[in-house]
Amino acid sequence: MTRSTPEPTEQLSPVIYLTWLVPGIPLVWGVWQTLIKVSQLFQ
Amino acid sequence: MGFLDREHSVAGPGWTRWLVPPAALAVHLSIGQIYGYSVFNKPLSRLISGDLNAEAGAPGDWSLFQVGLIFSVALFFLGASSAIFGKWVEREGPRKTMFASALLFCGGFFVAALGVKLHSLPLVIFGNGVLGGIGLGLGYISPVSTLIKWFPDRPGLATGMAIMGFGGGALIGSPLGTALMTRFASDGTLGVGSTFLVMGAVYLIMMLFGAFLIRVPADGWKPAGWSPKPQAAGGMISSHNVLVEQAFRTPQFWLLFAVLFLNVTAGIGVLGQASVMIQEMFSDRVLGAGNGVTAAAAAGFVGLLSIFNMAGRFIWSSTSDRIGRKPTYMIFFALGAVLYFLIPMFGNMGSLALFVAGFCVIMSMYGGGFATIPAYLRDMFGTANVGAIHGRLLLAWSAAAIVGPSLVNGFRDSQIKAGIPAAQAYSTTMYIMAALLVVGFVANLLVRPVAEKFWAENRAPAPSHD
Repeated sequence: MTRSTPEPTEQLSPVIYLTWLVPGIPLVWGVWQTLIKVSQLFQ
Repeated sequence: MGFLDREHSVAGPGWTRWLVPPAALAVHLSIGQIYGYSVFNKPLSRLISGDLNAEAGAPGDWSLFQVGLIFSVALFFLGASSAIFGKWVEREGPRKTMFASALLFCGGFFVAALGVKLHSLPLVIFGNGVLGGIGLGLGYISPVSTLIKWFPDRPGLATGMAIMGFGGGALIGSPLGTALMTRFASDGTLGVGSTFLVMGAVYLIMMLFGAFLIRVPADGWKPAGWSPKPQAAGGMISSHNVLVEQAFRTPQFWLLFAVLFLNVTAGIGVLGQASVMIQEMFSDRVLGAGNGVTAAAAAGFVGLLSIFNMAGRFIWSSTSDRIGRKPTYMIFFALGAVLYFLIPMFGNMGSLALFVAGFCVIMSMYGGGFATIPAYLRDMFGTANVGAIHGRLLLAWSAAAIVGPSLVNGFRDSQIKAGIPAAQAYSTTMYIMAALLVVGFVANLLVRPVAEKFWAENRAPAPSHD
């Protein structure tokens, strides 16, 4: 397989982090809601 | 509407590729809601009676079987639309297709809300099943080839992030649907219609965010400082493109079809029956009074599987960038077969911890199979048409969605009819799943680089003589 050369460090601006929050917040909320249910398995 | 065209979505200089995964994730998290659709099944079957606790619905209420058709129709149209529209998706680019996906998927919710208001099952099936299913298919494949083009150095990581979103969609859709129904329920109504309207609007915003954010790279773009390493003859990563129609004729396509079909079949049947299975294998009768797995604990088990299904998509897919696609599937099939073989033993031992751990690993590989296949296709058939080829390969998913649950349910029912205790009724099914994975192992083993005669440059059209 190809052993690619990694690109130089890419500069990530605060805008990029904020953009990631749009899918990130609902995803974290969904995982949290699921973990609440999962806790029932260990009771 | 020209802003939706491919040429208007080409990234300018300095635009960072790290904005593409959240765009793809926003779409996949939305359409992944379909995996959590079952929260609506019971309320939809009690629209007239308005009583969720009643044993049966009022006269005129839909049966659970009828309501279950919505999910089946949606999955059918997912597979069909991704196969039919794959070339259109590739030609028009991700923005237009994500936009179309958003209108169809969310419009489907609005039509279904009308169906609930009028108590018309065909309208709900048309909304969530047909329109929603086509939106699912378009949305699922639309960002895949774009991600592969932006991340030629790490295609597994990139597609893993998006397809992880599809697995995570249920984690959001299921509690969101439940919370909204609780909020909108009032005397005599269960709040399903209002929930559909709100979910349609929320998902529309999320998906349009993705559609407007996404960009395609300019022709010839590559990551700074990166250059593909020349491949040795017979290497497993091709630098040649294969046309969609030609890909269909290669043994590699059908071997990968078998790989995806068998991997999904082995996982999907169990996923659908996980709650019942753990309660029957670890009941009070098996573990002693008061020690059996309750319905609430079983729901926790299903939630845990969903988390592993989601996480596996990202972890295994990114791992495949390092160890290669073929070895990754070798692990799925070999480890999966061993685990399926051992699970009945874990049940007989009464070891709930080993049982749960075994299925968590299996589910991570089920998700990993979905997320790694686009990069495998890229390796075999090149980047140019990978979206369209991926769309056709997803028919394997539709087929597995029918075969997997039928296998698990069918064998369980026949075992119980034969007088075998419910706790042991799943053993045969597990051994069959292990056998299916062995077949998948062989199919994956047979995958070789695509023959030169299928390369696009060797199949240029004959010059015109008119």
